[in-house]
Amino acid sequence: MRLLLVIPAFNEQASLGGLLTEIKALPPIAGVTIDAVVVDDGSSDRTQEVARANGARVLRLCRNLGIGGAVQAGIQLAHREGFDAAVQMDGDGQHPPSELHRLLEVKGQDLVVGTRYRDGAGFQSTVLRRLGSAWLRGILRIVGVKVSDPTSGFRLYGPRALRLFADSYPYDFPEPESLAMTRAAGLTVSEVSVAMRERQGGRSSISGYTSMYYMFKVTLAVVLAYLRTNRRARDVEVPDAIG
Amino acid sequence: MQSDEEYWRLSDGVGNWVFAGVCLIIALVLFRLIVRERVTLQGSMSYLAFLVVLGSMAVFPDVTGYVAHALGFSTLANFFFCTAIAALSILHLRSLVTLSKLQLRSVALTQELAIMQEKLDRMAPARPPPEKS
Repeated sequence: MRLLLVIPAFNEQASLGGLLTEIKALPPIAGVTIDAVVVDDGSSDRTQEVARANGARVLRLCRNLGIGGAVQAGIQLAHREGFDAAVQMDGDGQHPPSELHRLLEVKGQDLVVGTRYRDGAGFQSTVLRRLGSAWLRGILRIVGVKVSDPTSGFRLYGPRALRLFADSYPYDFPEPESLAMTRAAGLTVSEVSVAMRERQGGRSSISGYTSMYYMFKVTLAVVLAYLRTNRRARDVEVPDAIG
Repeated sequence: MQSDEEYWRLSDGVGNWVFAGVCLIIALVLFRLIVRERVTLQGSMSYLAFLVVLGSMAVFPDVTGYVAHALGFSTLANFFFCTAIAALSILHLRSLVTLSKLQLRSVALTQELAIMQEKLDRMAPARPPPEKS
C-alpha cells in the first residue's frame, strides 16, 4: 500500500524538523510505502526550508488558505498520484508518528479517526476544549456519526474518502464538518485510540473569542454538510474501501 | 392618516430633485470607476439599473406617487425606502454569490499552483551550488 502523510503547517519551523526526523526514523511497516508531504500554508517563517532539509515533499501555498485548504491540497496530491491512502498529521507535533500503525491496523474503513479520549492515554486537552468536543459529539451523533474525538486531526483517508475530499473539503475548522460529509456520502467512519502530545511549537488558531465563533460555525456547518453531501452523494460512484 | 391631496403634495418638494441628484452623483462615480477599470461594466450593470430606477422615481414623482398609492403605501418616503432597501438587498446577495464563487476559485487555483510547482520542482534537475568567487 502506498501511503502519503499529509502535514499541514503554518509557521511551524520550531516543531516540523523534529516531526520529520521521527517519521524518517519509523520502523518499516510491512507492505506499506510511506511518503510525506508538508503543505506550507503560506508561512512567513522557514517552514518550507525545514521541510525540504528533512527530505519531505513540499506543497507551497502562495497564500494562507487555512487548515482545510492546506489539507485538501495534500489530499488532491494523494488522489492524483494514485496513493492508496493518506494520513493527516498536524505539523505542530501533536500527533506522534509512532502511533501511525494504530490507524493502519483498522481495515475496511473509509475514514479512521485517531482519538485521544477513548483510552485517556497521552495529552488530554483543556476542560473547555473537552466540553466543546462533547457538544460536537452530540451534534454529530444526530447525523449518525459516532466518534469520541470529533476535532482530531490525526486521521486516515481511504481511496473513497480521498476522492470525496479531493473534490470538496471544508476550509476552516474542517474536522467535524468532514465527518458529517463522510457519513452523508455513505462512507464508513471508525476510530482508534492513539496517544497524543502537547503541541511542540507554534500557536493554536482557536483561542478566546475564536472558540465561540468555532462552536457556532461548526454546529451550523455540520448540519449543512450533511444535507449538502447527502444530496451530492447520490451521483458519486466510488471504488472499494481500503483493506 | 393623510388625505389624498396631502399625499400627492409630498411628491412636489425639492427633496425629489436632491434625491435624483444623489443618484446621478453615484452613477457618475460608478462610471468613473468603470472607465478606470476598477470595476467591470458587466458587474456594474445591475447597480446602474438600480440607480436608473431610483433616479426615475425621483424625477417623475407623480408616476411614483401613483404606484406607491396603488401599492398601499401611506407616504411616498416609505415607498422610496422600501424600494431602495429591497434593491440593495438583492444587489448585496448577488455580490455575495459572486464573491463566494471567486473565493472558491481562488482556493482551487492556489492549490493547483502549489501542486504544479511541486511537480516542476521534482522534474527539474538539482541546481548546481553557487560558484565561489
